[in-house]
Amino acid sequence: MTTPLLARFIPEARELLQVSASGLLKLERNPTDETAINEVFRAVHTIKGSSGLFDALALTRLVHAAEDLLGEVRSDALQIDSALVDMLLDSLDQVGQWIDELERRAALPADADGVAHRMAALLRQRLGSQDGAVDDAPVHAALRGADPAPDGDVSALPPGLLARLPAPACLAAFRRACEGETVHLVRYAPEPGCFFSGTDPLQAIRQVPDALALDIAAAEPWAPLEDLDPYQCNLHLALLTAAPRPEIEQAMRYELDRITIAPIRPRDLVRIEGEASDGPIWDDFRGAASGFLAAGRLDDLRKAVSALRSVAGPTLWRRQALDWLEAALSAGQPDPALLAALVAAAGSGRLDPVPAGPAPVAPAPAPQATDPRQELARSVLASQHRALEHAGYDADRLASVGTVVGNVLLSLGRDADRAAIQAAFEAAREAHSVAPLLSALSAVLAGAPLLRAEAAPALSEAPAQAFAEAAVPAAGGKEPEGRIAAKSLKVDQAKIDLLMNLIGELVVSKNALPFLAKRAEETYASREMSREIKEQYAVIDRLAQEMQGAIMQVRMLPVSEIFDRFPRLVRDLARKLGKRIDLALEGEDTAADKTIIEALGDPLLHIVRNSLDHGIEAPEERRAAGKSATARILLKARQEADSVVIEVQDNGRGIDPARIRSAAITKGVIGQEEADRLSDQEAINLIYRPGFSTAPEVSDLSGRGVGMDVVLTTVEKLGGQVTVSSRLGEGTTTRLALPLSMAVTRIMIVEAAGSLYGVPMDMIVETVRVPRERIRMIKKAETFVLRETIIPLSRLSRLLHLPEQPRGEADAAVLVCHVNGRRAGLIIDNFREGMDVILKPLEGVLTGIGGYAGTTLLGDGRVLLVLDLRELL
Amino acid sequence: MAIRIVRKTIHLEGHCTVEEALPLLETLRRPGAHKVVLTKCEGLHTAILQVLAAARPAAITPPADPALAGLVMPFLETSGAAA
Repeated sequence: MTTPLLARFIPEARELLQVSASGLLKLERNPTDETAINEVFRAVHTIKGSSGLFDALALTRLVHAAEDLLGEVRSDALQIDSALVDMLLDSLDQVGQWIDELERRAALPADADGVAHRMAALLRQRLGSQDGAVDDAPVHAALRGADPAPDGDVSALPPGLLARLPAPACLAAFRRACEGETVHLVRYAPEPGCFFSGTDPLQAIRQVPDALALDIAAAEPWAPLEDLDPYQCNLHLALLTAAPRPEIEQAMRYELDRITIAPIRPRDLVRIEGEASDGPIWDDFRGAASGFLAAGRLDDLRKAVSALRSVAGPTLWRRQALDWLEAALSAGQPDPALLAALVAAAGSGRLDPVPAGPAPVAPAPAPQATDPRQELARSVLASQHRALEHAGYDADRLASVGTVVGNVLLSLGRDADRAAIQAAFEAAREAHSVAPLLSALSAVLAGAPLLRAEAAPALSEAPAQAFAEAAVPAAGGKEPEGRIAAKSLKVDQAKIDLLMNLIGELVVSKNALPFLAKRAEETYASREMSREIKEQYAVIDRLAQEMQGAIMQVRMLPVSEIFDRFPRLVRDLARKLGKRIDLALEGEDTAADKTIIEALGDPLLHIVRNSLDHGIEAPEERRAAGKSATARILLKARQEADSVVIEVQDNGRGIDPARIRSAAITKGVIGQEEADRLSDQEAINLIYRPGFSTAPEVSDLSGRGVGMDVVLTTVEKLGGQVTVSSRLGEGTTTRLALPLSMAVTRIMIVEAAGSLYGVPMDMIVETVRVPRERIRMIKKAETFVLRETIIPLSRLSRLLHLPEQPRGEADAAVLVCHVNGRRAGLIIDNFREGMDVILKPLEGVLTGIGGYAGTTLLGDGRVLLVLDLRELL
Repeated sequence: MAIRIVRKTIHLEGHCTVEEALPLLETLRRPGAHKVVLTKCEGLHTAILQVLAAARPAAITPPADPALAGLVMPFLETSGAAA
C-alpha cells in the first residue's frame, strides 16, 4: 500500500539526502561555510518534518538526532570534523536504506527502531562530549545512582529491585530463563513532563509482550501532599520480560531514549525468603543430592527434590530453595553450577554467591573513569593518536585531528593540555612530521601534565581554529546559486516518452508535404496549389521543430545529476587509498537528454576510478615529484554545438606510452610488431582495448581490464566519442563527447544500386565528387587523394552485395566518413537530401541482420534502411 | 465521571484519565483518613497512580480486575508501608 503521499516523499527525501551529503562534504573542506551548513540543516530538517507523516518513527528519530547535531554546528557550538562528517554520512546512508525499504514494502525493517536508537545515541554522544550537558543526563545519572552497574549490558539485577519483585514472578522468570530463553530487564525512567506529551508510562510499558513482573518505584521521595505536582512524573518502572529485544524496542519505540534493556542471568533472579529450619532430613538431602549431582543422575535428584518438597512446610526457607531447585531441574539442560549452588543452599540454609561457574561478569568500570566523559575523551584521543600514527604527515588530516583534540580538551576544561597540544601542532606543521604531536598526545593520554616548553620548541601558539583554517586549502569551486528552485512538476517519464513519439510521428508525416506539393505540380499541373502547400509546410515545419525543441528541453537534465555523486565517491575512495584529492566540478548546469545523462554515469565512474587508482600518485610520491600533495580531479561539462562534452582531468602521473605498449604485449592485446608501429597517442588509445590492464593485481577499484573498454562501448553506443590525451608526469584528460539528444537522428539519404539508404550525419565528414581518373588502385584497393591524405574507397553496392549498374558518369560521388577512428570513402550513386528521422531499430526476424542501424519512414510512405557504417566498413 | 466521592470514600471507576489526577489530589489533600475504592476501576493513568502512592490513603480496596491489581497493588502497598 503505497500512498500518493509516500510516493511523493520518497524521491523528495532522496533528493534531500543527496543535497545534505554534498553539503556535508563541502563543510568538511570548509567548516565555516555558512551556506553549506544552512543547506544541510534545511534538507535534514525537511526530511524530518515530512517523515513524520508516515509510520517511520525510527527514521524520524535518527534524522532528528542528526538535525540536533547540525543545529549545534550551525550555532557554532560544535566544530565539524571528518569523524563527525563520517557519522552524519553513515546516518544519512542508513536513512537512504530505509527510504529504499519504504519504497519496496511501505514499512521499515523490524530492527529499525533499535538501529535508530543506537545511531542516534552515538550522535547525541557527540553532542554531549562537546558541551557536557546532555539532554537526559539527569535520567541516566538517576539510573546509575540507583544501580552502580553500567547501563547497556547490565547482567546483574540490583538487589533492591529484586527484593521488590514478587517471588512467584521471579520464579516464573527463572524457569523461563533456565529453559534457555533470554529474560530482559527493561528499566524505564519516563521524562518528568511526559504527561503533557500524552505519554502514559504505565500504559506504555504494559505494551511490552511477555511481561513477567513489573516494578514501580518513586524516583524521588514524595513531596508533601501540599506541594505535590500531579503532572510531574516521578516514577521509575522496571519490567522483567521474556520478549526478545526487537519486540521490546518495537513496543517502547516512542520512549527508546528513556529505557535501558539488559539481559538477566538466571542466577540473578534467585530470591529465597522464609523461616530458617533445621533437622537431619536436610542434612540427608544435602548428602544425597550432592551425590546425585556429582554423578549426573538428575532424575534421582528430581525425585529427591519432589519427595522433600511434599513434606517440608511451604513457608520454610529451605523448602523455597527446593522450589527454585525444582525449577532449575525442570529445564531441558540444567546449568550444573546453578544446580550445585541451589543444592548447597537447600542443604545449608543460605545462598552463597555463585562461584566462578556461570561467570559473574560484572564489567567493573575502570576506577578512574567516574566521569563518563573522561572515558569517552580518552577513547577519542586514543583513536586520533592511532589515526595520526597510521597516516603519517598530512596537513589536512592534521588540521582535522587538531580540531577534534582541541574540542575534546576544551570540553574537559583542560586548558593547559590544550595549549600544549596546539603548540605541538604548530611544531608538527613546521616540521612536516607528526612526531611532536604524537608525543604530546601520548603524554595527555598518559595523564601526565604537559609542559609547553617540551613539546613546542619556541613557537607561538595560535588558536586551533585559526590553525585549522590555515591548513585547510581554501575550498575551491563555485556553487551555482539557483539550485534551490525545486518548484517543478513531477511527471511520469512514460508520458513524456509518449509525447516524444507523437511528435516524432508528426515530424515524419510533415515530411510527406513536400512530396504532395511535387505531385500537385507534376500530376495535376497546379503550380498555385503546390506553392500553397509549400507555404503551409513551412509553417508546420517550424511549429514541429519548436515542439520538438520544447519536448527535448523537458527531457533535458543537468549533468549535476551524475556529478553530484562524485564528491562522496572520491572522498571515500581517496580515504581508502590514502590519497589526497581535491575534486572540482565545472559546468554542472550543462543539460543533456535524460537517456544520455543516465547512461553516462557508469563510464564516468570508470574514468574517475581509473584516475584515482592509476593516475593519482600517493602524497609522498607527489611531493617527491615536486607537486602539491593534494591532487586535483576536475570534472567539466560544457555544450559544444550539438553535443555535450564532459572532461575528466587529473594532474596525476599521466599515462606512459612505453608502459602501455609493454603491458599490451604481455596481456596479448597486440603483438610486438604492431606495438612498435604505434605512435604515442595510438599507444594511449590501447587502454580502450578489451582485456587491457596495467595493474599487476586486480584491486576492488580497477584492474580487471574491462573498465575503459566499457567506457568506449557505452559511449559509442550513445553515438559519442572518447578521446584521451595525457602528458607523462602532468596528468591525463579524458574527453567524452555525446550528442545532446538521441531521439531524433539526422541522416543523409544516398542512392546506391537503385535504392535509397540513410547514413547518420554524424559519421559523414564531407561529400565530394571525384573524377574517375583520380581514383587510383593500390594493389586491389581503390583509393583517392583528398587534401594530401590517402582515403581508401569502397563501393556501397559491393558492401551490400547488390548488382552494380555502371553509370558511365565522369566522376564518382564519394561520401567521406569517419569510422572507427579513421577516414574512409564510400562510393555511391548519388547524394540526396538530409532529413531528421526517428530511428526504429530492426525488430523480430530482422534483429540479427548486421550493417543496419535501423529503419525509418520516408514522407511518401517508403521504408528507408539506415546503414551502420561501423559494421559495414 | 470516573471519580465518585461518598464522604471520605473515593471511588475510582472505569478508566481514570490524567485529567482526574488533580481533582483526586485535591480531595486527598483534605484532612482526615481517606478510603480509596478501586473495585470498579478498569485502568488508571500513571498520574493517578502516583497521586495515590504519594497521598497514602488510609485504605485502598484493590481493583476487581486481577491483572490490574497485580500491576498496581504491590507498588501502592509498599508506598503505604513506607508511610
